[in-house]
Amino acid sequence: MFGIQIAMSGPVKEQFENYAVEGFFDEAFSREESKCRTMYSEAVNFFSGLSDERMKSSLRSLERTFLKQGVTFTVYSDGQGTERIFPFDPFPRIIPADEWSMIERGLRQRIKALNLFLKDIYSDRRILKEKIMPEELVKTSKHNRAEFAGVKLPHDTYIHICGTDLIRDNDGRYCVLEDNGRCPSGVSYMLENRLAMKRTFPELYRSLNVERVDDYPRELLKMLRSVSPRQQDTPVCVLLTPGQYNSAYFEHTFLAQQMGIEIVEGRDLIVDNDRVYMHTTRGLVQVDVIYRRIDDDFLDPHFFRRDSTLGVPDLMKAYRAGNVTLVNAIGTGVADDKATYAYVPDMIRFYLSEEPILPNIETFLGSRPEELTYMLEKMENLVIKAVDEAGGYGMLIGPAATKEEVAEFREKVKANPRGYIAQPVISLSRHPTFCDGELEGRHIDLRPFVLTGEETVVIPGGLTRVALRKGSLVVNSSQGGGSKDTWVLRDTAAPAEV
Amino acid sequence: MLSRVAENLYWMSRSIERADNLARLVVAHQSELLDATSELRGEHAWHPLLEVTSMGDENSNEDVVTYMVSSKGNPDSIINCVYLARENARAVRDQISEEMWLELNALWLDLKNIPVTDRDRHSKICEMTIRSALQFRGIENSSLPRTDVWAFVQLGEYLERADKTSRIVDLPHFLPSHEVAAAWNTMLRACSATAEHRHRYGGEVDASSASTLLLFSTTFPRSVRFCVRMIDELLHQISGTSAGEYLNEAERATGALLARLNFSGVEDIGAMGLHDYVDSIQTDLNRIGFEIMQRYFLLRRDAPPASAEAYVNSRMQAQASMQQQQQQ
Repeated sequence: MFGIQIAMSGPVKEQFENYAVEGFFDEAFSREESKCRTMYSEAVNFFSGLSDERMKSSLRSLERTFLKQGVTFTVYSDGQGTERIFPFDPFPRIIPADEWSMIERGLRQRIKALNLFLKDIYSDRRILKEKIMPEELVKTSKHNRAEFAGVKLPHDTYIHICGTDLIRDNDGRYCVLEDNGRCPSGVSYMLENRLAMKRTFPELYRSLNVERVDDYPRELLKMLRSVSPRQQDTPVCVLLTPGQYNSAYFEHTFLAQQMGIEIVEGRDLIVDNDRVYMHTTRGLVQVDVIYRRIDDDFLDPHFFRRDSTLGVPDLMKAYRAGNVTLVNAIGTGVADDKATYAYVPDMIRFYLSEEPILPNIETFLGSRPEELTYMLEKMENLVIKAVDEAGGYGMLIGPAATKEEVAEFREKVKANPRGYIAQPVISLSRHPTFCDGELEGRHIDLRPFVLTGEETVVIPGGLTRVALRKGSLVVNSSQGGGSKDTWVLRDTAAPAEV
Repeated sequence: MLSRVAENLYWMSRSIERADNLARLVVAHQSELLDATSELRGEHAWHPLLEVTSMGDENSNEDVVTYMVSSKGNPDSIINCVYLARENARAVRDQISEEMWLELNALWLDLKNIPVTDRDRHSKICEMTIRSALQFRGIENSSLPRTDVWAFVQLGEYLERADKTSRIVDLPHFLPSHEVAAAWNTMLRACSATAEHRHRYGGEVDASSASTLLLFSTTFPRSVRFCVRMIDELLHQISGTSAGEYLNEAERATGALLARLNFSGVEDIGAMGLHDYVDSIQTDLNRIGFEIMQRYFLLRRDAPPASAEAYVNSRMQAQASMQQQQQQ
């Protein structure tokens, strides 16, 4: 199946000569004269200059590296859970320093507003009282946890780890596609992609002065410790996984190992006297911070879903009592709701008195009657999304859908207008990608990672996801997506950090 | 270390050791059968192996070798033991070295890929398992920091090996009397003890010399006494108790068995008979396994609290030494 494309239909140099921008916004070549953009010139020269042999052997060594490191995700089609490598494209995405600095400011602004919003709706509810946002919308959000209103959180942080999805439109403008504020994944691929690229193309990497991303595990651990409720030198932090058959288990073990913290399952933890303990061979050890990779619904069978075997009974009691910090906090899903998304620019204005640096995509809400009418009328030209789905599920791309599919979605939207939003079809930017033996443009997005504890850290880079199928706009790994390494260039005007 | 992790490590290790010993028994017995008299032929000839390994299922219609080597229905078949070892390793991939995982994963994939139609399938499974188990122990030895991870892996290894060696010594009990003399060679071969026996006793193999070596040797790494001494040391390492003292039932039971093995020899078996003697050792080993589970694996609310500071520090040290090794 997928993996790394090794066979090439011709020499790489020729591939570049035949490369066509085809009217899209291309990251590496300008639209008008198909001229190579400045930041890409070294990479294009480098790849064009590679002999066929070197290219093939490099790609083979990349594939070996991934398999050997076990950078895999699990597919369940054969009943035994086969591990596959995440498809990877060796042509790096390159972002110049000034562009990144704008992205970083935009992300900081956005996460600040989202955390203020969550604190607000779980305490004073100012934004609702002042009618900036309809109360009904928050109340009806599937992931609203009103019962946890008033719980005091260290540094008032709700979304400690955010994986915001950015895209570039037809004019190259960066926009926010969605805020993943529950349990965003993919960071291990960002780290492994970098390791593999450094190993395979060291000369190109060196020549470009790229910002490092390998500080992520250290920054993550620092953040986890900074939100510990117990004041002691070495808080006990753990990563809570659903278990070894979860598709992201590789990432869970990878991160736990990099941070040197324990990876635990629900059955390893017990709650006693409103405190959480893990059961070790040396007795019970109190746990301060839980980086949980389990959704709210499964965390505590006494509180949420009774049938959950993944959770820890009475964990919510300890959380309420302030004896344990959950990362991310309970109830962040309200901010993740795709209808809430439409209000983020207003939140930024309301809480920060600033204009949004990173714009939203124009969004129509089923909950607003006039927009609903428009949605239903123009469905063939729009992208329709269910507000509480992720991973590329529960969506309709109007222009690509059949009449029947559109009709089916129209009924769904009519039955539950609050549950759907619509956006215009955005032609995502494209990036040269080695596919099926050819160098061709493929649509991409970008998921940077933002950590917030005592302070906010934006990792310079992220996971660039590629829609490997020709013409496809869906980049999710479950839907035939792959990834690229993302190189943020250092500002050469500023001295490099020692 | 988490109790669940300790348990996974222990069973990973026990399972691969079990697969290894079973494969050794099958190979050695196979070779012995080639020279055996007519009485020990056909299906019947394999029954003694079922007896010593306490396996067997009256409802199974597979032949005995298939049942022991590749049966899906027999939870203790070689192939199922390898699967179990791999699944346990998978659950603790962040604790063991990458190479240990790769070895078990590769063995499992290789065994799965041997076609059912291959005439040599069973001997291939045995040979690959024996070889891979040796490699696994080598990797373990050169890549694992000597922390509790190491201790629980070793605990599983030595407990299983002690049990299997004792069962191998019991093999003659289930053979026709005129085959017994030859069977001692099978036993030595199954335990890779032929060379050691030759060094120590010369060419002549008899019940006394073979069982002395396999039960009481202080230097041979598959002898029961050697294994029990290791279990004793490992349990003390884990709890931090000084040698000769005990803190829990697992340590007490191990100490008692070790004392029995230390201060007796083949001449003391005497009236009891080898079969009953070996039986009593197995009972003690089961007891030790049970006590380890009680003490270290079972989730209990009343387990004594540990200091968080000490816990994090020891975890950090283990991590540092692991990373150091992986970078080399």
